[in-house]
Amino acid sequence: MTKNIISRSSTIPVLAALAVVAIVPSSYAENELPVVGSADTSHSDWGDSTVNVNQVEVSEDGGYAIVAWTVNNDGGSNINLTDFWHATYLYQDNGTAGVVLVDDDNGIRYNAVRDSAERCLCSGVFTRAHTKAIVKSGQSATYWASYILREEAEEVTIEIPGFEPITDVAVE
Amino acid sequence: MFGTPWATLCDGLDWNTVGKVITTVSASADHHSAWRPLLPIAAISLLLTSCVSGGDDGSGDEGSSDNGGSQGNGEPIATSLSTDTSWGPDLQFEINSLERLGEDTVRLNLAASNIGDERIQFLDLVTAPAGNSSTPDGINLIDTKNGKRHFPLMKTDGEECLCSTWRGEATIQPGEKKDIWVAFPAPPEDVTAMTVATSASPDILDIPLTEGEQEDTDISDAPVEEPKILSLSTIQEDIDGDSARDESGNETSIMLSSDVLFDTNKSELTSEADDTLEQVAQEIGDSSATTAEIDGYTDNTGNDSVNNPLSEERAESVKEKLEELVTRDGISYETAGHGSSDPVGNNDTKEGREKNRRVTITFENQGG
Repeated sequence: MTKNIISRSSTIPVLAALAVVAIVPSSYAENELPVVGSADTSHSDWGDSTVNVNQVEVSEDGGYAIVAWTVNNDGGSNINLTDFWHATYLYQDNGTAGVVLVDDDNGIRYNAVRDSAERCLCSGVFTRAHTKAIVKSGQSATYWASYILREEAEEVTIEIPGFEPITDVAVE
Repeated sequence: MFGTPWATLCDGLDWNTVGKVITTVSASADHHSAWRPLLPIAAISLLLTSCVSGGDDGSGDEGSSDNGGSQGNGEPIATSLSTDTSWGPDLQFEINSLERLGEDTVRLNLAASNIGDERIQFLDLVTAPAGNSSTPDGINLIDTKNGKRHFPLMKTDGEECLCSTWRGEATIQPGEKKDIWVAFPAPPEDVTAMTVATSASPDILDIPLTEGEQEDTDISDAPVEEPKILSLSTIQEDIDGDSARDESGNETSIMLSSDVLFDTNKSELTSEADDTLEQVAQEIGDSSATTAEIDGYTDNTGNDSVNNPLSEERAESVKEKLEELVTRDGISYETAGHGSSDPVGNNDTKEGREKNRRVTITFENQGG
């Protein structure tokens, strides 16, 4: 009898697990990505959306830094890849060049890297059929951009268009 | 390093546990006879969808060239964080090796791995903007030491990259990998690592360059077009917004706001200009430059008949001042006015127009 009770009660977790797997497939485990900073949206149409900065890492040589961020649309109108274009400087074919790193200690604002054809080294320069260019409510997308930092840059504030600034992020 | 997102799910589910689950579930199905055959099958499905191979050798992928697979123990050197595709981190790039082949060529070996449970349409996910579908010509290597962007080598016959292709085999099923290789122009000999820009994922930093073990003259001797290597630059602004610098390799370009240097429509320097130009003069003096180029620009308001001469006169004013201030001899100055051409900022915005109203001073600056 005891055995029956135990057997029956283990069915439920298995079924629950199956149910979770059945529901999850169309989105992905974005909560598995590392998070080094987060912010709420400052955009009036974006509901309770948030952004996670997943990576601020610099190369061994040359100060080439990669910044990756994941936008989580929570109850807002569509968030578009084009919302992350640089508002001021021109980049050939745009892309998500709009994120600015601010080194307050050394008084420098860093803008995304361009090559000599003026294209940024970032996501979205060429939107392909399956680029996540529109992030609807309930969805997430990860974008990135590259920077060239001076050696003295140890900590930065990250300004992501549409979100509050994220301060004191260490450059790894 | 960013590992397989599903790894934790797999770790908690080994075959012993599976066996116990299936046994328990089957036993409990006595009272639910309709479900009896389904539960073990469902449990197995759960495992198959979640526990895809992590770190094993690529499961025999069709269409890949030989020598393209992972080497040694099968573990990739690095993996991508996520992608900006509909599949997010379910598409994972695994960097297997970066080898020098001969003096002029490097080959990147990587794999595109489907660690999710939906099939991935890989057709042009790493194809360049004007590139060839079903090829990885959108993948670049970054020489971070020298600030260069290396594009794939292009074959002279067929104008396609010197790389693997996957025509007719674009789908990556769950649990499968597609092996990919791309040949690039080699960086200088003293470069020991490069960064991989797949163009569908955040760049993967610092992949060590190794010597290719196998003689592969098919690749190192293949007839290719002139290599395409572009320099990188970046605009770093002073926090007060009055000046910025664009550092590119061994050249520095200092961008000064015309609004600070001059009064509206005037070309005489203001008193505020002195300190700023003193600093620039110092930098030029400290460098080994023999030439400094001074260029004047305006925004796109007004017309060329005003903007062109104004920008030229302003460049001249800055030149005269620098000639006074720079203490080192042997520097010649060139000036030019460009009017509203070559904007750096978006003229549709106030901030953009402000950036365009500038005088730039460009000079060689080793180790800037």
